[in-house]
Amino acid sequence: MNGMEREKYADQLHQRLLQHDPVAPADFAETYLEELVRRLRARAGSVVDETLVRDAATDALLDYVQHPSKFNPKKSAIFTYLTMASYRDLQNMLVKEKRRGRREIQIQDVEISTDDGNNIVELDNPILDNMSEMEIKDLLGRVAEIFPDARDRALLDLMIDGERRTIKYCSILGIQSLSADRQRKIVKQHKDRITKRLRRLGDKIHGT
Amino acid sequence: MEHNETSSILRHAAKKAGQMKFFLAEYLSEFRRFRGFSEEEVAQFLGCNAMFISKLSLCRRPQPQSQKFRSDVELNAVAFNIQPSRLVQLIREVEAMKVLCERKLVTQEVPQGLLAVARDITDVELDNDGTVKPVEDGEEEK
Repeated sequence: MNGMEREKYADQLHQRLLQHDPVAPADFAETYLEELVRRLRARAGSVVDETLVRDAATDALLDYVQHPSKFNPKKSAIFTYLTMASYRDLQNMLVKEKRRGRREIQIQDVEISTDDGNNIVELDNPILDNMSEMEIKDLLGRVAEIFPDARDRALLDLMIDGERRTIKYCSILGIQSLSADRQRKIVKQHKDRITKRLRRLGDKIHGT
Repeated sequence: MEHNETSSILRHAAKKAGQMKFFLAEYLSEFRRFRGFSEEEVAQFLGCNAMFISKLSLCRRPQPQSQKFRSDVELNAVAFNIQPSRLVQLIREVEAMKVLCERKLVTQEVPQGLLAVARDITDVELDNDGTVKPVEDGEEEK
């Protein structure tokens, strides 16, 4: 099927879903789920866990076939709608994962800090913790826009997590073979670049 | 290779759909559990190829109370080349078992299918009002 035929078939399936045709959800999943997974994978970048990508795409599609009237064909193409919906689901999953990870690390840190008190890593994020789910979603959407490169997003993740070990950044940048001094310099350049972009985003959000 | 990817994604979706009342998936897996069937045996019962079970799971479940029940069953039957009467039997059987389960006559463990369940039910002692009589301490050993 070419692009036009696919869109046409998707429209037909949409009509069948609205008419409660019992086979339409299965036909839709069989024809489009794999492509949705592929599109979401491409948008999310290779650093995101494949299981999460699959879950998010499946959740979005299953939700759509149960509630097809949520989609307005006049506003967008079905794939745009589904890719956006699954990307939002994926972002929510990632936020949850991150929060869970942060809580786990915090518990471990408390245990370690009782020994020597030198290894405490500040992982609380008062800004994120005080934001609503919707605000976080919106913010993540904007962050994803200014960091289209998957490698940058992976670096940003490390920075948000408070990671300070240069080696972690080096493995993302693929510069492990360079001298320690050179590694530090390159990592710093990348961190500065990302921080600048974030600052510009912050200025935009606050209208300054 | 691509076909494997599609089947694996559909299988994953069918598993998720099993948690949602909207889809046939829940009834197919309940039927398997009650009967102690494998996926192949369910396909055999319905008269279709086992490779279609994941896709069938993603169909909207025909509602016996709905006026469209018959036509919905027929649409499914035509799409998957299965016996309509078998699909009706499957749906009715699961509905009946669900009612029985709700009345707590059947435990969650049903290792040998419906026969074992039926045997268990006849062994249960009922009160006059039809509810299960509680077992007194030490009575079990008699």
